[in-house]
Amino acid sequence: MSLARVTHLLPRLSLQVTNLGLLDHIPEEVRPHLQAARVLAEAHDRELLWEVNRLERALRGIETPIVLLKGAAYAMAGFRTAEGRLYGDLDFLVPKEKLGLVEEALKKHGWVVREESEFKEQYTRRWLHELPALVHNQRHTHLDVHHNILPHTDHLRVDAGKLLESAVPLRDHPRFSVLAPTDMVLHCAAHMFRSGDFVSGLRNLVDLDDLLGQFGREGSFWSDLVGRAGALGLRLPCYWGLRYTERFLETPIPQDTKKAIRSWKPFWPPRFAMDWLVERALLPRHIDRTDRTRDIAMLLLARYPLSLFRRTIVPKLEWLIMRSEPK
Amino acid sequence: MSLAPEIKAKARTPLLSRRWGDETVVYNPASGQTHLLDLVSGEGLSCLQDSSLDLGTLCERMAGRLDIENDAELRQYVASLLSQLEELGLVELEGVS
Amino acid sequence: MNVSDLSPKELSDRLTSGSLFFPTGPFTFSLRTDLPEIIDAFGLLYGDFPVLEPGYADFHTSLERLRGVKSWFSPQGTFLSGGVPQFYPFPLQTALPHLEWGLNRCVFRNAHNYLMIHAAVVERGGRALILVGTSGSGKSTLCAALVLRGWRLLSDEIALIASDGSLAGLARPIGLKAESIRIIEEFAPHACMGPGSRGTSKGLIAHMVPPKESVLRVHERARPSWIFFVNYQADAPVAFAPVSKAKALMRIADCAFDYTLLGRQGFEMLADVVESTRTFDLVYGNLAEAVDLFKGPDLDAKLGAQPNQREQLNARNGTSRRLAQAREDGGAATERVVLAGEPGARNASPPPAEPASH
Repeated sequence: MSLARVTHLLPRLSLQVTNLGLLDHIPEEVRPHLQAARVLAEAHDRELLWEVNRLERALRGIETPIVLLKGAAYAMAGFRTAEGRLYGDLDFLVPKEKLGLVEEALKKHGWVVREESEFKEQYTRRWLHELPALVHNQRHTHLDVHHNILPHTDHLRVDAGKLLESAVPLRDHPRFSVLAPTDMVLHCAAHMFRSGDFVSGLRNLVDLDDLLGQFGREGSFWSDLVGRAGALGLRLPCYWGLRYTERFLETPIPQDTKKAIRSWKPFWPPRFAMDWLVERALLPRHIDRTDRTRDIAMLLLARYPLSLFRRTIVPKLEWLIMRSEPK
Repeated sequence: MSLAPEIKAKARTPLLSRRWGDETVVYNPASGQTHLLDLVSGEGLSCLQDSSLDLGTLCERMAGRLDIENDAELRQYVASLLSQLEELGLVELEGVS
Repeated sequence: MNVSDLSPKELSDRLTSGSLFFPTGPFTFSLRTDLPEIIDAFGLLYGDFPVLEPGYADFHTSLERLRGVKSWFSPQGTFLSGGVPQFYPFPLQTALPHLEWGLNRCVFRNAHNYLMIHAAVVERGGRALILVGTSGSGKSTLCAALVLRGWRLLSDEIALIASDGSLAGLARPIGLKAESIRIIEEFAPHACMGPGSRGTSKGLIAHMVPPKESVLRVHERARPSWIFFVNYQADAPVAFAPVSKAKALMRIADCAFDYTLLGRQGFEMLADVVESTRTFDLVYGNLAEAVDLFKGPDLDAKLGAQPNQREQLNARNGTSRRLAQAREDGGAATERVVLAGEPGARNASPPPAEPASH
């Protein structure tokens, strides 16, 4: 119970239990916790839907595609991975040239910059070419506006135009789109292993497993994925992503696919080192021990690959220092 | 906000409310927010729950229910009220692009 | 078997090995600590609490000394639930208050099968009195005094409203700050208090041992009858004034831990509670005076007749009014109050240094 709570998986567990009709089999003492977790899950769903409603209202009249990302996308598209997921930030993607208009509209409707320091804000705008993270001044909800799925300083560059082109409109909310299935999977994998977001590492891996399970049933998905990874330049994240969902969550991956991506593995770091790092990073802290090696593993993985320091050492170091400051 | 005469407003459904005396508390399940409305604004929202109304008709109805004069002051108040209710998400406007 | 039935060695052994399991109302806790001052304090404050056999617990908590360089200079402690720190590290001398805050936090952060209000609750004759107020409002002091005068204690911090509208109690020690400690000691010199701790953001903190009967009867639910918004003002004579139910609902929602989280159900539950209770503002400067107000069986009579809500409507005499008049008749132009969501709804928020007051 405690472990599930810590990795934010309790609401999901609760919903699964209810959906499978297992509630009667759960010991009485545990039931209130599952019930409470369900309340949380419903509250987050409600909050997300309302945010999307408010976002639509704010961007009314602006001609731009709005592509929802990550948790918001999963929830609005009704994916299984969204069930019981706790809503955090609302992320969405717009074309780079629309950033200005979008920011203006958002500010008019009550969103303000979230960063505490002006330096951070300027850094984000100048070096990452992103809008700074936004928060709504009344609802205190977080909003992240992107024009690409990876930060500008990353040595991997993805052609955002390709992502936007393939985006799929939502049936019930046609104003919004989500990434094409292959792109969604690649985004999940790329995000997990690049942005250093290992705090909820296990949850991210679970998302990836869910997405693969959901899309993997469609005929050409796997070969499409392999092709798209190449086209977007995301072979490496794809490789690691598939490797670790299989390893930790036993995600079924077709033999053909595994064969096709085998050659993508980089020489460095060696697989066993990477395996060791990821395992340490992903497993939640044991209840009674703080694991220092886990922290080290997280830090190392966040910096992977070392080639990140090639061009932008100074701003990157600054970015890491800022990010590790206590919030 | 100046509301074009043909624009109609309707309360969002569902809304949960309880009335005690002249005050009403309203819960909006979509936004998760709770609001306190006084006699006049409560009556206004109540009119909009029954049907979709334009500004003129709404003023008429409210004047009738509350026993007050349907004058320019009322019209101005109601226009402002509609704007606020729309912003809060309690009311939706039809005929707005 | 109660905590007080354990020998000091047994108590210490159980606590240090993390096998001390005890209930507080509907929740079961396990606690682990090897801090000697805490072990002693626990024995005193929780003496009348039953000891359970190790097994299931809703919350596995531990209170321990933090290791590390910083701790050499000034000893620090941490409180964990399920292995997760609930606060930023705190000076070890404030461990006891943090234990109490921590046990509260476990409840109000998780027990969303209840509507939880930041309020004290006491009961007499089956009817409960809810004292709503933030830190420094004087609610805990008044709660302690009422308990010393025979009211049953449900909680000094959290009103737990179940889905059937009844109140569940915790019957845990009552936290008192600085001045309040002195006031209570003056009011009732026989009151049994635990050790005081200095160095918290709120100054000196001590805890009053909950009366044995309150602990024994903790599983008895109570029906809410009165809600008072408490406001301590030094030297003010005791005064109360009715608060309209609609306004009471808004104010209580503002003081609730999970009103927003509960959504529709929260609204219905709170509206039902407000419907079935009498709601007042209370100001007091002298504790004995305030306690006197609640003395005796005829509280309702003292509070006066119920306002006739129909009176206002009857006052209208048929001729048309101007808008402003109508608004005034309707109980003064009330501002439309939008309730902001409770920020704590996100689990991603970091642990606070000490409990935030609303």
